[in-house]
Amino acid sequence: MGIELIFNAANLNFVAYASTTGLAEGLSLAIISISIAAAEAAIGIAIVLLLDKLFKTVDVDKIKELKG
Amino acid sequence: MFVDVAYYIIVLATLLSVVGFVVTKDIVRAAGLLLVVLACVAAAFAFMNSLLLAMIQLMVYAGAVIVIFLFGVMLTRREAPTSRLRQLVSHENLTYLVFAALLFLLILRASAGLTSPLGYLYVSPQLVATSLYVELRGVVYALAALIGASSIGAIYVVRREKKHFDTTQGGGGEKR
Repeated sequence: MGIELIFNAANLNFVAYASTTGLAEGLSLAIISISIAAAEAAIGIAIVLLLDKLFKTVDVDKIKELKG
Repeated sequence: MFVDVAYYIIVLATLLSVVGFVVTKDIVRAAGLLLVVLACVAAAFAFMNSLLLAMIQLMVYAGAVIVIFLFGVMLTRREAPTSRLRQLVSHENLTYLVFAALLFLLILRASAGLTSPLGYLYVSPQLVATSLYVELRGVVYALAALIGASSIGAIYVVRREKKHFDTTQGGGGEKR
């Protein structure tokens, strides 16, 4: 969730750039950034579900060993 | 005058929500506060004369990403927060009220056609489409391939581990 916050901060900068210069590249980059963030969120939930299945917890302090 | 006040209210709401999101110990409240932050950012986009980005932000981020996080919270085990410190935002209704107010401001801004307080320029969706699908076409294709490959890879890894996990459990039962 913290990564989504960082993505939004970058998007604000992109849109501010596009709005002050009138160029569309800032908005295009913001759209690309949003799509990357959505894909990353989907992959993140897959990882979290897998961790919960294997270790019976999602507390990162308790996940200390590699598989095998 | 009203536009200036609304703009600074949105900025203040964003800052307060971000602080609450970082400080809170409960993950469901963090997701709710993140929803408010995303709505505030969408409203900021609208005030910067980028209604297209505001709608995309609301649909993708506030609509899909938050649901993904909530599904992750629902489907996993988690321990109750151990901190007994008072939460910065302690009542869920306040969060929903702020979100509703921000949506109202956003719709008002979009429908009334108010000018931006800082004189932001308007970039038409046609320009954005031209930039995306003509100038940045290679990037968009590469991104689509990357997202598709990563999604298929994530599904494969989860299914393969599930099969391995089920096989291991079944093998242990049969040996007894």
